[in-house]
Amino acid sequence: MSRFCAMLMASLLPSAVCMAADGIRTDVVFKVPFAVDGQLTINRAEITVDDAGRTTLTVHYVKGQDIEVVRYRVIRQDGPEPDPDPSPEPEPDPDPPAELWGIVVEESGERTAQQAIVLADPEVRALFRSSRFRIVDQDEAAADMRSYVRRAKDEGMKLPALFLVAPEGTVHYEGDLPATPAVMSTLIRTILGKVP
Amino acid sequence: MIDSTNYQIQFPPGRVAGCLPRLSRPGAICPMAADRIKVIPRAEWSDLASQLAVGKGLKPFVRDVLDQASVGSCGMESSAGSVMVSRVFRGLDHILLNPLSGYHFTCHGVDRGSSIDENLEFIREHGLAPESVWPRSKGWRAEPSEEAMAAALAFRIEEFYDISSIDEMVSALLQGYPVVYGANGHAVCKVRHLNEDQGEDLNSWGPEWGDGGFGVWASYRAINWQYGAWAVRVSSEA
Repeated sequence: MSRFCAMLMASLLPSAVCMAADGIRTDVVFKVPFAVDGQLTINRAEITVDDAGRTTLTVHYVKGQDIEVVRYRVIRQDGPEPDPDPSPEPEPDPDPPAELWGIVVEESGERTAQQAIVLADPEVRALFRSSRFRIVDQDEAAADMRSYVRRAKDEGMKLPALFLVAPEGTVHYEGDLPATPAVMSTLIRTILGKVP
Repeated sequence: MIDSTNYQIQFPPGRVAGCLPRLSRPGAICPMAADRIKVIPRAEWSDLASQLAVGKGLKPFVRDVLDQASVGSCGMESSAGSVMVSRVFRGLDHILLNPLSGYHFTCHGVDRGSSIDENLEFIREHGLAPESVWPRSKGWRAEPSEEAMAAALAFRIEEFYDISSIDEMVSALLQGYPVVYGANGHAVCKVRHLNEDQGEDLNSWGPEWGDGGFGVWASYRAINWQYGAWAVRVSSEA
């Protein structure tokens, strides 16, 4: 598999340079780390080449209540000659988690009707196994949820805060609760690798 | 479409009235809803209700419809229903609770009904025993065992809010809180806003009543405020 290294700046710069060691593979969806408002998140990305031969790296990420898209022009630089082996074993893309826990830390008394709509949405709930979507109050969380309450407080996160966590503990998303069920579903499906 | 005219305000054979007037003064044993629930303008009710659990309100979080049979335990049954709905909303495992484990105490030895506020206060302090530990078949007279009372502690209400208007009741519903109230001698749990006149209730007369156990027991205007109405919030500890 051709490899590339994408250097994504911590802030959203208008362009980024990708160093191609032995070519760029296009039309492949993969995940990249990406900083959004100072929070490191894992996001869906892809490389495409237009008719003029320009290569673009497109990253989809969640910011606030919306799915945002940012595009970077990819500049190839000269590198070593291609690997003489024409058919090396591809490096597998990181597997998406098979399932997620969803944990919402809220101040119950501050819950709005719009937030209740997101929290209760059947499609959102269906993306989690039974009892793997929990809504916890910041002042009365069960023992297994307290670390998330603590993190939300330590990081000064705005409540309600959402954590999407793989069963082995990898946090795939932490940030604002999306404002609509559609954005929430897209976020979850993206992490689960279910977005085509 | 649920229509209140489908459900006449009457007690089917074998069912008894059991809702007694509230015992506490407003705000005496719990916060007033006005201090905890944001009141939503009426113009927004319909749109928000159509989106909450995609139009079904809190009904998708009901796992069991209780059946009090001929016992006058509606005040505790409706309170237990609100606890179970709230737990599932929070993402906690559904556990079938036995309201009679609490009604044994709040009826004070005579099956003549109980007050909703006394029931809610009991659940806040002691919780309700799971059916698996203290089954309904034990009846309301039997004092729950120590084991049952210990198990009940995991199923307490964190807080309940004293509702004093239709606007507060609908606002609580739309923010994800079931509302226990009394009307026409009976206590039920409101789980869905339908229109400006009425919301849908979770009754405790088994799934044979109304539409699978749900229906409109009383329109908003028929709520008897002497019985009271309370929005229920359970702890997220489990």
